[in-house]
Amino acid sequence: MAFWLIGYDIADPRRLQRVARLLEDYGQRLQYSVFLCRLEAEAIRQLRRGLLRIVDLEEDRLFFLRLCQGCIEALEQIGQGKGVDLRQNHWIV
Amino acid sequence: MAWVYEFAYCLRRGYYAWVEGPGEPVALSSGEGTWMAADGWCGPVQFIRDGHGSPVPVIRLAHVAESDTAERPEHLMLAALARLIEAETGQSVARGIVQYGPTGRQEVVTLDERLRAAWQRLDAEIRAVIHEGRLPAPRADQRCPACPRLEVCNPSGAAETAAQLNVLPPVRQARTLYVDEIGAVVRRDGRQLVVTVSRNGTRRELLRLPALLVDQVVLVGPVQITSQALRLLLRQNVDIVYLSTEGRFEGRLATEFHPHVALRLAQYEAARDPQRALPLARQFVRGKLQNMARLLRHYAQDYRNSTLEATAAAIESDLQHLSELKSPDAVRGLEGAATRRYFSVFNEMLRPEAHEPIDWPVFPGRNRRPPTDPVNATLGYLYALLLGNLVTACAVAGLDPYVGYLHTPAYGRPSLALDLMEEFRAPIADRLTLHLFNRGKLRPRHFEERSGGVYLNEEGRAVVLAAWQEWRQQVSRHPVLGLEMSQMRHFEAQARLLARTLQEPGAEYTPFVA
Repeated sequence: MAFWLIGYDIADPRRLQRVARLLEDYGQRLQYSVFLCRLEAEAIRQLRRGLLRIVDLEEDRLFFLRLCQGCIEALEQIGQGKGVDLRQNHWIV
Repeated sequence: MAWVYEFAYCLRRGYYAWVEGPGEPVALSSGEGTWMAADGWCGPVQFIRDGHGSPVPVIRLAHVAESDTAERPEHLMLAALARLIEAETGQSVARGIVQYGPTGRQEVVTLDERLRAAWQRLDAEIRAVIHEGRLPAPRADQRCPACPRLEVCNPSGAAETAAQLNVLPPVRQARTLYVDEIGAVVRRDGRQLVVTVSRNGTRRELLRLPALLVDQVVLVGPVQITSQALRLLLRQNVDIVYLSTEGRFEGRLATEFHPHVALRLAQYEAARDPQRALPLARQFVRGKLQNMARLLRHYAQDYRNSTLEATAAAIESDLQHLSELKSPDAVRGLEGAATRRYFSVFNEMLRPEAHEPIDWPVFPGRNRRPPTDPVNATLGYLYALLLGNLVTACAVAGLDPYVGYLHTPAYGRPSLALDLMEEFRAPIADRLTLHLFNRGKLRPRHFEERSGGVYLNEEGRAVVLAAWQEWRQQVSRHPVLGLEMSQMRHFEAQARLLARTLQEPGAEYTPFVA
């Protein structure tokens, strides 16, 4: 299981929406086009395949950055942070 | 039969699949085919008939495996299928067919003696692995890069890369979503879980997170979950635990292949091995004695009472002998003696001043079934509540509550929950009992005599339950994990700590001390 930072620039609004929807299933939106995901090896493969099916590599771009444990611990969010903290192991409602 | 492919690929991959639940299906198409069973293997078998009417098994592979020198897993699987067909139908099988993925390329495989012998060897190896429950060595060859378990297995094996890559152990973590809000509904939106609650006709979203992140969902009390959400969770091998508001364990919904198989096997193995059971039993008793001594010292200082002080010291000296004891019976004997010491002075910790002018309550010593006095009745009731919570904690942590180490297993006795309960008796139940009587919250009118004993009546139970609910939510620091958590969470944390102890050789269980 590892943390991944995934970002995108998508030229077409329909593809943009589909990419965002797919990423919401896998992780947490940090910024408008940057997601933080905590994924097992199989899940990141699945996600990568899913994204490649949607995007048009002529016009769009994606990045995948695998974060080490130190990097993820050093994450600091300032301002209007939203949603759950992926680093937790439990959530209580 | 799908296991055969995983094991044939690599014994280690097969082991992971067996322990953690199968990954995505690799070989074998769907559940189509004729169900067959022989030699302990079973599964749907697809076959066609050749020109002579003899059956030819067919398997479909999603992707083409790299060719290497060793026996190909799909060939071994055909041999296994052939054996199954022969045992089931009595007809001999000479050939098998492998169809490769979307290209539809076919390979006809002759099932010769060499291949059949290879399957016989593999069959024996698989049985040995499952029987021993030990992780086989990795292949560390050209098959590894394509293996879906690569990340978990880490065949290159350098210790520091393992520490970096494998931050989490191979058995799945218990990332838990607790829903403890009256009227909350757990829903599904795509592959996300959404918890909502309706107030005054408007639905408010409390939490939204990808279902991938969760290994367990605990639903407490009147909480709903939609079928769609339930099925999403089951498909992802997440188990769902139902607790009543009182903390009683009501049931659990899980997929057939539960990832905690390895944990339960470790638990049973340790129960059969005196070398491992004895240290655990000692730790449970150590926790209990430390906590009894602490409670006595606390009240000794409060009341400046030398009897309590002396008993605390006596129990502490009992603790010194604990590590010398060589048998579970001796450990139980020491525990019994220390407990008798403790209860012989329990009366000193009660404060009858709170109930003047009557001389109440009087504690005649610990007794039960039936309890003869209000203090014993209250202790018994609280121990029952506590036990319920610990049975839950065991089940939630994936342990079998009925197989313990200090308490010998017996029909219907939740031994492990009783083991874990020892360390909590004094700081949770006994302290609360003292609190209830000394603060005058329990009065003589809260008790009734029936069937030869003294019991809490309805009003009394309500007082105790309300206090218990509040008590359980009190927050304190966990000695090992260093986190602030409620008493409730402490029960579960101890169960999980025990689970870790059972799975990691050399790890020691640290009891809860407060």
